[in-house]
Amino acid sequence: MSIRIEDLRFTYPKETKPVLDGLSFEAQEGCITVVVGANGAGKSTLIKSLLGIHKSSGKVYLDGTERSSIPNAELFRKVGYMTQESAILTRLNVFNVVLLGRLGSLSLKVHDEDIDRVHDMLKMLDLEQYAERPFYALSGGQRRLVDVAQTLVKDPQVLIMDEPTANLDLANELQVLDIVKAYTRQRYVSTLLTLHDLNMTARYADKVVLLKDGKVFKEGEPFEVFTEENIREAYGVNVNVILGENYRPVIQPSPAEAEKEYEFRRRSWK
Amino acid sequence: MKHDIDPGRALYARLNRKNYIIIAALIAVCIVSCVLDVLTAAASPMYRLSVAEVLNCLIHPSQAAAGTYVIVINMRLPIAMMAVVIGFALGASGAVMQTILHNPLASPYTLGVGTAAGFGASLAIILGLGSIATSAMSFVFAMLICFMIYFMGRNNINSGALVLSGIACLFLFQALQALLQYGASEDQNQSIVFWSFGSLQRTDWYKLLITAVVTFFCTPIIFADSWKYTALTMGDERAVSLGVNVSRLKVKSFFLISLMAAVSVCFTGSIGFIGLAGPHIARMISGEDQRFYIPISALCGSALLSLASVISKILRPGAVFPIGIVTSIIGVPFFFSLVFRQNSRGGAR
Repeated sequence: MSIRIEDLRFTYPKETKPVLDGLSFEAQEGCITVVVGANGAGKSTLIKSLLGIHKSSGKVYLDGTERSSIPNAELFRKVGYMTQESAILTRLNVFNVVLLGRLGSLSLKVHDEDIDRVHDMLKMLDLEQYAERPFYALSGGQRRLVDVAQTLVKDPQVLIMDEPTANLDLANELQVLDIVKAYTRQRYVSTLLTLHDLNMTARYADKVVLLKDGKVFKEGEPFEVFTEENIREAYGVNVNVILGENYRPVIQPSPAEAEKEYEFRRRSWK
Repeated sequence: MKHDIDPGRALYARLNRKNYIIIAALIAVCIVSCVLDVLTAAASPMYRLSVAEVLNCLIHPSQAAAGTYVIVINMRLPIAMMAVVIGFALGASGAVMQTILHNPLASPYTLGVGTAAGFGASLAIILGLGSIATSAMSFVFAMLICFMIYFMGRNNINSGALVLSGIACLFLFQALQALLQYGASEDQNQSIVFWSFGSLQRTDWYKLLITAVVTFFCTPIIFADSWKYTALTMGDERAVSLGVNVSRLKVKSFFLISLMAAVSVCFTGSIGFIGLAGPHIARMISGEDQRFYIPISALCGSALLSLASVISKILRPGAVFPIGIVTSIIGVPFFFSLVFRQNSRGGAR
């Protein structure tokens, strides 16, 4: 199920400056599309607008069907959406939290099929030993992994994850993104992520969409988008970009940038 | 692969087993307490019946003496059953209210439903209307406060706004009630005070029937949405991402719990803390899986109110203590434990 966004516009109530100012791009099946951009560039707003949680103007097509013509319940049966905000620390046990991912098919008497899917998912993410623990008793990273399990357990045809690796350590970060990548390839789904880590983006993205001021500033493969000039424009930071393995760029803030930061600190300490 | 599947199902069965045992135990407590309630003498010693007489009358009502029949079947039995039904309604509505408002302090009573019902009843008493009109008026005002809370918090349907508007309405109706009492005659004031105590003694079979029909009409509708409520325990945002139409669910639940709370309160007056203590105990013993949390809250409410009904009769032999006083005196320690637990867990629920 591909996602096509056309001329998406959104302004928060009581504000004049639009957060999304005519965004258009496409996320293909079998590919990981990563949206990057500075804080406040409109990444989360974009995701909420394309899912209809924010009322925006413009069109969103899922496999050619306009999103607004798909009933809400059906939309969220097909779309796995992982929010950036972490959930309330419920006392629900991990098994039930993951089970909630299959809300669309759950009945009061839980079917064996649902139970099996949850159990498989817990095993795949090495969460089986936490199944009986209450959600609030987990560490931040474990909770994020449970969120991933909850999102994938319904076998979504479209995967949308807002900062899936926030709060994760390096090993967990790689684990989550590897799972996302494998899922995207094997199930041939369209995956749309937002990430802050440009190097992780370069490593996993098939396509990068770089946002600036509510518009698509650059889009393309990582090596096309992540140039020293583009990053300076979008983030206002000087970087050195080295092309690594498989033309994957490696981005390092330039030594001058560290100097600037030091200068800034020194000034503010005075 | 086949041998991998079974451990998951076994695990899930194990996770739920405790909850089924709790439900069975609570039903047993309710039945025992209800029978005790019928056996306990409510009135002066001259009407005291032996256990055998009561049981005989319950099993073979047609063979009982007329006096015994009136006491057991027309008076004690509906009161005992009313305690169970009202406890059930208050426990269930408190549980749903706490879930949709994300606030363990929310309940029909703390948001002023009881106060508004009391005001409606006082108004009817002062206007000299009959007992049916008194119940009707208190029902109308209980529904009114629910709609007021809802419309005040509607534009910004986060839980904080709703809870705040509930507390604001509570103060409003308290003040209006005081105003009425200020202008009322001594006789009227006595009736108002007696009504506001909260008592099951006014119960008859018709009131029991109405309350039971409304309660057992609303609870299955609520129960059918258990999974959506469970999603809601993870926050509104998360529930939306899981595909729940949160605002529609909240409107629907708010209407149903208002109806249940209003019907219970209009026949008995304000019975406090059942709607707070029931869900609290349920959360402690069962957790937040709403398929179990809602029925366990309701059954805890039933058990508590039924036990309170027994206690209200044995506190002072020959007289019935108003049950509203008993539940509040039992309720306050619960309230404190709730607040202290919250503090010790750094605000997490």
